[in-house]
Amino acid sequence: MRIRTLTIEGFRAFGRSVMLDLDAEAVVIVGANGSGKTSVFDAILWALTGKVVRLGGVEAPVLSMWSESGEARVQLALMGDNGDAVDITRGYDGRKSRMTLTVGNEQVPDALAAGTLVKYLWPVGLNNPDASDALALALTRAVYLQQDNVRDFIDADSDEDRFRAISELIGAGAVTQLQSAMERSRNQWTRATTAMSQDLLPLRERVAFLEADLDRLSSPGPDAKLGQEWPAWLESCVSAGVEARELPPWSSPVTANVGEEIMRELGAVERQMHRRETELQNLLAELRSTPQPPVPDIPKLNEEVSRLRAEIEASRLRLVALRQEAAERSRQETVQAEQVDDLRRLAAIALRHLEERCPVCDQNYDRDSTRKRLEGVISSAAPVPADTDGRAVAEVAQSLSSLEAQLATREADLETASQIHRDITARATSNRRRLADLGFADPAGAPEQWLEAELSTAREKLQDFVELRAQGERLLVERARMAEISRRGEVETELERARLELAQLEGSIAQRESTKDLASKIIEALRSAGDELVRERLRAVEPVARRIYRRIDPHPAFTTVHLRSWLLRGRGHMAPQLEDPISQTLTEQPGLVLSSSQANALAVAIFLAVNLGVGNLPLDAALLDDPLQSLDDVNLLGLIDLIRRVKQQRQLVISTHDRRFGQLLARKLRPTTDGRTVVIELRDWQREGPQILQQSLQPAERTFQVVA
Amino acid sequence: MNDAGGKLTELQIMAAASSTLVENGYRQSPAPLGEEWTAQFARVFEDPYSVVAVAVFPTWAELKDQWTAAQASLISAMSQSISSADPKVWEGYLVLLTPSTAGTDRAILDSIRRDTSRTRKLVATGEELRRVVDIEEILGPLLPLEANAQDLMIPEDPLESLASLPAVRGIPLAAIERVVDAFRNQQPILERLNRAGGNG
Repeated sequence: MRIRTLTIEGFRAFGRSVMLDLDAEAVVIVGANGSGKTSVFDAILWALTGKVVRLGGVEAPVLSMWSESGEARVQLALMGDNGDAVDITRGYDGRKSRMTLTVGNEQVPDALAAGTLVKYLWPVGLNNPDASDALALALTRAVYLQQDNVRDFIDADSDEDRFRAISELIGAGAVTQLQSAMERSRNQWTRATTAMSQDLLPLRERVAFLEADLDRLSSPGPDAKLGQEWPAWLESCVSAGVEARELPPWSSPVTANVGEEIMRELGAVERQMHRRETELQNLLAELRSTPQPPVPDIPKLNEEVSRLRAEIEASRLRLVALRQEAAERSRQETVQAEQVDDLRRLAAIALRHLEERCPVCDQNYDRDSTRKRLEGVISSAAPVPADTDGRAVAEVAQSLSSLEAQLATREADLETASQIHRDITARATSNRRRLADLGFADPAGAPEQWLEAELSTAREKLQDFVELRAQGERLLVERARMAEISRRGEVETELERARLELAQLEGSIAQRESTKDLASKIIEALRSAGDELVRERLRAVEPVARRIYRRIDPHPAFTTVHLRSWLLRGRGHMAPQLEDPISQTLTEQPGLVLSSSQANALAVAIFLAVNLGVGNLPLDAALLDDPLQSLDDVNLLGLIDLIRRVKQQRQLVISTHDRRFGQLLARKLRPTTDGRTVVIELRDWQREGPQILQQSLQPAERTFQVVA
Repeated sequence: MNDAGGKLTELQIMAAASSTLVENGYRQSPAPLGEEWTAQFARVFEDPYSVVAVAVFPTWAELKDQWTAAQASLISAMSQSISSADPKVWEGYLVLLTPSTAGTDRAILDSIRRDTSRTRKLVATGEELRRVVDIEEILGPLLPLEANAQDLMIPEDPLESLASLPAVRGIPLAAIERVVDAFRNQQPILERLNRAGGNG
């Protein structure tokens, strides 16, 4: 594929529309820095890939600030080896981009344009997830040597980057892509297999559980007779107090449930029976063990108490009366004694005052007799009170006290008797209630007898219950066995299914492991194959690189270049090496022994070697953007001579900022017998773009002049 | 390489250089480089681009002393035949060869090589000229690039020829085909491989 024309408008340094004639074996673009040389190369790259990687891969910078149409537009006309015209038009209006592709005279539908373009230019890139990226990489690694990135391959790229780039260029990238895809697929596969393996354990446990379950499940046939007992048993249960219900057949799955319900009800009735039996037994025992106390004669006691109380009252009244009498008598005796005392004191006074005449009445009296009498009065004794009252009171009080003691005794007896009476009454009431609770509302006769009879009846019923329960349990067990036998069949089926599932899963996992092993072998083989392809290609490219490097001859000692590749931890690496053949010295780090210009020369040599060494490039061209900087004259001449030779195999587009160098290039790249060389001069850049002078060089009239 | 010293002789060097240039499109002038030179050891060649003088000296010392004379002879020959307006007049190359070694004079040799004032020089001594192929290498800048793009053509889809690679031998062909097919059709690769029973 060869470039014919390039039309640029509103792109980078080109504001107005310009068409460049590039339909030549060699195109030399000369222009000062900033005149738009690089924009020409970028325009080609953008038209082909829709991105300019060195600008960050985004489209905004491609739009010229002085675009006359307000958009960036590049039209690239190519010609295929078979003469087919391929026209690519790409536009960007600041928001979105568009591309149209015309092959021959037919426009490719927009949706297919990008893919079709890659198919035309770089079919191996279609194996890449991003074919456009693959195309861009192929172009920037092998076709377009960007001024800013000349030495990336030597300095910036890692060994792995170089290997990857070379792999992509020589088509081994597809193998690497396949290898990566397989590795991803294998990783997912391994995760899925691991997840499946995790299902093995529960499945194995399930099989083991089912096997153990099967061993435990009953295997003999059911006792058919027991099924016949089932209705009779239920009837007995109903008779015994269980609620009547519809009877499921013996073989029914719900039989066991119904049986359990009945057993529970039976249990409840039995518990009631037990309680009744206990109550009867307790009541009977109580009646038997507690003697009836004698009923006290409470009326007699009441009568006696009343009598005593009356006597006490009478005694108390008498005692009061006696005490009142005694007090009166004592008062009278006191009055008498006081009178006696008063007479004595008067007699004594009168005695002391006996005169002839009575001092009181002033009459005459018998003094002696009076004296005698007075003395008699004085000597007369005071009356002595009788103690009959005191004794009487004491006697009555003692009697009263005795009566009160008797009353207290009798009242206590009365209380005791009353309590006994109440107890008897309460016990009788309680027994009546308990009997009523037991259903004997108004029993006749001695309770112990009919209680005994009742207790006997209750015990007989309880015995019936025990038998019923035992029979029920036997039925339930048998029914459970029947269920187990039924379950055994299910378990056998389930076990068979689980074993099958386990075997399938184990088989599946084994097969997956086998697949994984095969995939691993293929991955290893692909890894080696990728390396093999790269080595093979490098073996072919290395002599070209060596010759090219030798022609530039930038270093007096390190004159031989090697392109070495190797695998490290499964990843390909590639690095250029330099050798001094005379001293047989090898350096694996050219950057350390070469000057900046020498390293540039090496980078250009490797780029051209790759360009020439890869047979089916997206473009059969070498686009060199100002590659010759800071080279010595001899190296410069060497490089130009080399480029001259490149022209024989590639459409060459080369730019330089140096006018003298431009002239040298024009001379060196001039056509000889046929062919065409175009020189494009970019000058006087203005906002609308540079002025452009295009010149087509003609072949010399005489080919040989010195040697006729 | 001669039988005696194990190195190329002057005659061998000149013969090899001449044949190499002629085989690559150069025409050899029947006349020597100049009157002072013998055609046996100083010859002129021309192709559409350039004029090449090859001078083979018996010793490094002679080369060191006489290379300027050889250059003058070349310039003279070119000026006689090519007009000054012809771009070719600037395309003179002087190839200076000797089977002897430069020894400690490598710096001088390098200075000769770097002297591009009138012609470009290709200089080689016995250190580099050990085999005939070394002469071809020295003359490399004057020869077409040997890279034959057709020989380096890679298949459009290298996956097509994957099975033929030595690294892939031993892997069942069917497995490789399934893997490649699944990859191309963006299908789960191991799934496809597994469907075939895990053994390809």
